[in-house]
Amino acid sequence: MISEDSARLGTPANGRLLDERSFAGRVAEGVPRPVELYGLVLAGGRSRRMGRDKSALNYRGEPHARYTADLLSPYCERVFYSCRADQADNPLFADHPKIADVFPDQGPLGGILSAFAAHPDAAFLVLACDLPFLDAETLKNLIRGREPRKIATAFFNPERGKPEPLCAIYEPAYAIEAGKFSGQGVNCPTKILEQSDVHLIPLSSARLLENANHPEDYELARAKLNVTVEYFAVFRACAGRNSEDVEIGDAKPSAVFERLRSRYRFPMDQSHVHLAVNDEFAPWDRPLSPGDRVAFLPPVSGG
Amino acid sequence: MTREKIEVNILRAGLADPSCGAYASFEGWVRNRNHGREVLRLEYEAYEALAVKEGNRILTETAEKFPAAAVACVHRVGLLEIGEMAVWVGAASPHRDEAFAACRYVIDEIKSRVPIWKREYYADGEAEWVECSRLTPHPPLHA
Repeated sequence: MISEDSARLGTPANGRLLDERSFAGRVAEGVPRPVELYGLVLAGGRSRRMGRDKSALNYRGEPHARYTADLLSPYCERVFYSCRADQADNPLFADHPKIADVFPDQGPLGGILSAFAAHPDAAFLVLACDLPFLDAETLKNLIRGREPRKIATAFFNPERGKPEPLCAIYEPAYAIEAGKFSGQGVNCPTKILEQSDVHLIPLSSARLLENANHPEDYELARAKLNVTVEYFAVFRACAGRNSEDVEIGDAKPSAVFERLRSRYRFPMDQSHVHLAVNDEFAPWDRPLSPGDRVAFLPPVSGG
Repeated sequence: MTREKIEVNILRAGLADPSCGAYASFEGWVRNRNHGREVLRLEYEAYEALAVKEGNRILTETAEKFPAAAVACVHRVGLLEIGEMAVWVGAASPHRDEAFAACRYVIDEIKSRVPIWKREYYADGEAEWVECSRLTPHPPLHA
């Protein structure tokens, strides 16, 4: 029953056949051999609703496809961008190899299956490139929760009541299963997860995997992203802590300072305070980027 | 930047140079009174990454302004008792004028620019971060 479907799946445009023995055998044994984990950043979307290429949007100081690839690098043997053929020369994707879509216009499933067509023996940690809140902690939880005897490990999003297919680990056997669904006209990766025997792990907060599809989502996500504020001297005493993560708001340091000043009753206004960002003095009109380390410096009194 | 007692002899030896006929130094000590209040001890806190950068910038500027002088400085952080040394600046040069001037420049810049803060512990049991209670217009931290 597997051979028909995999044969259908295994003849994409590039003609490379999936070697079904390598993983079908493993599934039959029920004991997985070590499978290399590759990372895949899905960057081949058309971004029609956003009106700009989502992979190039800057949430955290760099194009988000790069941020996403950098998140994967520590955990994956190799990291790939899944791209359309016409993106091959885009310098944005120069830092990792690309896997061109051999199932064009099939949405994310096409990108995932193209990756398996190229590397049928690997497992793929697949990430969409439009997840502004995705962080290393979430990835670690996914990897820790991985169940290689199932065809996939994914987060279950309690708010949506659905599994999350675009921050998930797909084992080699997923390609066959997904190929069957695709053969029946089902190309929605969420539906495939819902209707397959997969390993689901709880997602601590739905926000972690919120995606940004419209320009308003982009602005809103940026505003909600955090900077880390480090406190010194009297500000540390007022805040009762050394540092904390604070929402970036409109990205103006003075607005962040005013919020904290009224929250913690800092004993001075901004005119007495200097700003430092990422261990360097900075002017007050410097826009903040998510992930920046911000320090408000009360008048110094060394010597 | 150090958490340990400042060892002047070692620091001074680092500036020794046969071409230098002058050495000037400044030591900042913990004083037992400030603004009329009896002080028992001090605590210094630094934004270390930035303080070291700014300190190095001050030394670079000093080398440009006073090319004949070799300068060095150390600031201590943590809890200090009365009489202990909080800061040391040393300058060596062929003649005394440059050594005095370079030393003075370094300590003045440290006091106005380097992100280090002092907390005074008073005899009456209170403690306060200095400067915060008497706000005065503040010179720019960097030109």
